[in-house]
Amino acid sequence: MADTLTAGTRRGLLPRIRTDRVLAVALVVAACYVVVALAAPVLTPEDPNAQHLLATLQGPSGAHLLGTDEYGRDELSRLLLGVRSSMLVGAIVALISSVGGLIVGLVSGYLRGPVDVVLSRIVDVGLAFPTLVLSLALISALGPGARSTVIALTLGFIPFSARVLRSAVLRLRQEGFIESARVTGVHPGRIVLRHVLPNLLGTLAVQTTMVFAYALLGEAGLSYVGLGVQPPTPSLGNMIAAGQVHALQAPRLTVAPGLAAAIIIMTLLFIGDALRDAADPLTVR
Amino acid sequence: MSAPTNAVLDGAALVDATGVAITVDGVGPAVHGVDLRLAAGEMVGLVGESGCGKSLTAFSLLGLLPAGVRAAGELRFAGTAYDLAAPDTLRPLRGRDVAMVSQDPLTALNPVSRIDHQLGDVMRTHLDLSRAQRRARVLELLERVGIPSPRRVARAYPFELSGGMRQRVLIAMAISCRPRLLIADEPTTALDTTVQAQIMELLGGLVRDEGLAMLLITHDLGLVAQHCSRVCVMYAGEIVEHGAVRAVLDRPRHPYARALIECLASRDTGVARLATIEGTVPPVGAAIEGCRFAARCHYADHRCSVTRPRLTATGDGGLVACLRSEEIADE
Amino acid sequence: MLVRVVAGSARAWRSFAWQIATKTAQTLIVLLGATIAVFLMVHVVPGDPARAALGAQASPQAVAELHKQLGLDRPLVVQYWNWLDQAVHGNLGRSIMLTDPVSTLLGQRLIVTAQIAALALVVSLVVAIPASLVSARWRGAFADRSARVVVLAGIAIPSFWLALLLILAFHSVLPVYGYAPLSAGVWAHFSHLILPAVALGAGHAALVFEINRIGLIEAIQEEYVRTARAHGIPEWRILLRYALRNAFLPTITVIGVQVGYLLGGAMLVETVFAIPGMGRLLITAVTARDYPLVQGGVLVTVVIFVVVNLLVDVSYSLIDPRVRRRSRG
Repeated sequence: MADTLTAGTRRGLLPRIRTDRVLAVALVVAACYVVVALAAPVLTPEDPNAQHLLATLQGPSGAHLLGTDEYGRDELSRLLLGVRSSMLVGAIVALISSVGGLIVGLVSGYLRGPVDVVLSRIVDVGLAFPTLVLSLALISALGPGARSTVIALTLGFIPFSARVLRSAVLRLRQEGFIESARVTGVHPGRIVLRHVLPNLLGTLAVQTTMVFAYALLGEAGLSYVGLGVQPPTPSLGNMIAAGQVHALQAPRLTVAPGLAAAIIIMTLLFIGDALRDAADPLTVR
Repeated sequence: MSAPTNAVLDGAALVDATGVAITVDGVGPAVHGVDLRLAAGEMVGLVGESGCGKSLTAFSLLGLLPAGVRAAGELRFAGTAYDLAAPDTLRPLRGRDVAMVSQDPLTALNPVSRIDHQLGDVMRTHLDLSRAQRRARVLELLERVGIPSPRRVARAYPFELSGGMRQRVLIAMAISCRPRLLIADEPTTALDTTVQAQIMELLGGLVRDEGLAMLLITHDLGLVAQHCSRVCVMYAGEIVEHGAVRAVLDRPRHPYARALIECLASRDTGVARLATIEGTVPPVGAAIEGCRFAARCHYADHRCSVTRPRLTATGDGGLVACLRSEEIADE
Repeated sequence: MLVRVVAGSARAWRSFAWQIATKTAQTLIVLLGATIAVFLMVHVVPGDPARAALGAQASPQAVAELHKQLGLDRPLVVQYWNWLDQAVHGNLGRSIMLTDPVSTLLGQRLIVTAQIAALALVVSLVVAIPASLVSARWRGAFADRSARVVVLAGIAIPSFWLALLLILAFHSVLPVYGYAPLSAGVWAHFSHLILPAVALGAGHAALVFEINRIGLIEAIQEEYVRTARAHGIPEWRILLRYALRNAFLPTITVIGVQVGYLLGGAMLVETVFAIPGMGRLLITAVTARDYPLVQGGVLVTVVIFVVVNLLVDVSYSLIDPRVRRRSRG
C-alpha cells in the first residue's frame, strides 16, 4: 500500500497519454507555454518595448504577425513576454502556496491536538476571504506590483492547499502501515518523511496544478485592474487592459492576450483533472 | 430451446418466457437460453449461487438490464408477446403488471422523499386516482403489508424505518398497482432471521390470497423448500434442473442440485463442517465444451467434458440437464 | 423500529437547534478572526498608512495630522478595539479620498453589486441545472462531451475578458457602459445588468454544472433509481424527483461557497462595464491606498460571504431530512 498511491500517479498518467489524445495535446500545449516562459527574451522577434509612434495600431503583417499596439510596439513580442511574466507569477504562487499548504497540512493533520485546532481556525479565517478580495486587501498594504501580487495570491491560496492536504494526511494517518509504524515507536519525523510525504505527492501534484491555473486567473484579474504586474512590463492581464481602449478598432489586442490566458488555464485545469483521475480512479467523471 | 418446458405446470401460463439469452458486451454470453413459466397463484423459486445469472434473467424480464448488457428471447405475458431484445417495449408492464422487490431495502428507497410520496409516485404513474384516493390507498397498502401504524410511517423518511419496515414498504410499493407477477430478488438476504421469516410469510400470503405469480430469486434452498411449489436450479447461465419442489428436494437428479441440497442439509443438522461445493462458477464468457458443471462435479466422466447435456424430461414431470442423471438419482 | 419515529421529532428538533447554534458560534469565531486579519493587514505592513495615503510629496505636518486623526499613534490593541467597537456600531470611519463615511459609500454601491451577483446566480442556475440534467441523462453522448469542454472553458476564461468579448459582440444591441437605476425605467435598468451578469455567471454556471452532473450520475446509479424504474415511473420524473433531489443537496453547498467568488468576480466585471458597484469602489480605494475604505469594503465582503455560507448550511439542514430529523444519540 505504501507505494501504490504515488506509483499509481506515475504509472497512471503516462499510459493515459497514449490512449487519451486530448491529454497528449494538453501536455504539448503546457510544454510550449513553459518554453515560451523560459525563453521569451530570445524568442521575441523584436524588442517588446521599442515604440514606433508612426506605426501604431497596425493590422497583422509579415513584419508584425499580430500587428502593433497603440505605441507601435510589436504585439507578438509583447504577448510572448506577457506569457512569461504571467507564467512566472503563476508558477511561483503555485509552488510556494503548495509548500506552505503542505507544511500547514502536515503539521495540522499529523500532530492533531491543540496545534491542529489553532491552525485549522486560522485556515478557516483564510477561507472566509474570497481570494481576490484578500489579494486586494494585501496589495493595498503592500502597494501594487508583481511582487505584491505574488505575495497576495500565495497567501490567498495557502488555506485551500492546507485544507486539502490536511484531509489527505488525516486519511493516510489511518492507513495500516502508518499506524503500525507509529505503534512500533518510529520517530514521527521519520514516518512523515518515509511514509506520509511520498503518499502525498499525488494530491500535491493535483493541488499545485489547480492553484497554478487559478493563480493565472488571479494575476490576470489583478493586472487588469492595474494592481498586478505594472506596465511597461507586459503581462496577459495588463495587455488586456491596454488593448481594451482600442477594442473596437483592433479587437486582436484584447482577444489575443485573453485567449493566451484562457488556453493555458484550461490546459492546466485539464491536466489537473487527469492527474486526479490517475491518483484516484474511482471518482465519477 | 423448444424442449417441452415443463409438465408440472398445466393449463395456460401467465408468464411464459422462452429462450432468454443475455450477453455482456465485450465479455460474452451470461445466460444461454432459459425458459421460465409461471401461473397465477404460484411461487416459483429460481436458485443458484451468485454469478449464475439468476438476477440477470429476472431483470431482463423487466427490461432493466444495466448498460452494456443485452437480452434476447420472448416473453408472453397474459397472452401478449414482448420482445426481450427491445427493453423499451416492456416499460408498460413495469409497475403495472410486473413489479419487483429488490435485494437491499436499505438503499432501494429515495432517501429524501417521504414514504407516502414514493408510493404515490408509483400509483400516479399507473392508476387514475384522485389525491384523496391515493392517500387512502397508501394507508390501506401499508396496513396490508403489516405495518402497525400506517399513518405515521406514511409521513416518515426511509432512514427513520428499520430494514424490515423498509422491505414492507417496498412490498407495498410493488403491490400498489395490483400487479400479476412479482419478482422478488433475494428479498430477505439483508434482513435479520426473525424479520426474514415475517417477510416471507407476507409474500407467501400475497401469493395465496391475491393470486399473484411470484418468482423468488434466492441462493437459499431452505426458503424455496418452505414457500415455493416449483423450483428451477440455475448454473452458469442455464437451468440444469426443474421440477416440483418436493420431487427435486427428495430426489435431485442433477449433481449441482444435489450439492446445493447437501449444503442445506449440513447447515440444518449442524454438521461440524459445512458441506460446500468446491470451486466457483465459471466466469461469464468462458468457453466451455460439454457440461458447464463438469469441472466441479464428482460424477463427471469422460463424456461430460465433450457432450453438453440438454434439458430432458424426467419420469416424474421434471426436467434435468445431466448425462448421468438416472444413475445419480438412484444413488 | 417505530419507536424511532415516535421519539424522533422532539429530540430531533432540539438537536437541530443545537446544530444551528454550533454553526453560528463557529461562524462568529471565524468572523472575529477575520476582523483581526483585516485590521492587521493594513497595520503590520512597514510604512505609515498616512504617508502611503497622502503620497511622497505630502508635507510632514500633513502626514502627522492624518496620522493622529486616524488614531495611528495609539497602541495597536487599542486601535483594534476602537475600530471593532465602531465597526460593530456601523461606523467604519471616513474615506480618505472621498471624505464621506465608509458605511455610506459602501451602502450605496453594495446594492448594485448585489444585484449583479444575484442576477449572475440566477443566470448560472437556469443554464447549468437543465444542462447537467441533459448531460447526465445522456452521459457520454455528444452533448455531454461537448458540454464538458464548454465547462472547462467556462472556468478557465477570465470573467473580465469574457465581459470584453461580450461587449465586442453585443455593443450595438445592449448598453455596455454604466448603470441605470430603476427610476430610469425597468428596461434601462435591466438591460445594463444583462451582460455583466452573463460575464460573471459563466464561470459559476460551469462549476454548478460540473458538481450537479457528477451528483446526478452518482444518483442515477443508486438502487432507489432502479426501484423507481422497476415500477415504471417515467424517466423524466425519476430524473427530477429522484436523481436531482438527491444531487442538488451537495450542489447547494457549492453555490454557497461560490457566492464569495461572485462578489470577488463582480469587482472585475464592474470595472469592465464601469458600473458604480462596491467592487469598483474597492479597487479605486486600493489604488489610492485609502485604507479605511479598503478595510471597510473587505470587512463587508467577508461578513456577507460568511453569513451567506451560514445560511446555506442552515438551509441545507432544513432541506435534507436526514440532517433535519436525525437525532444525535
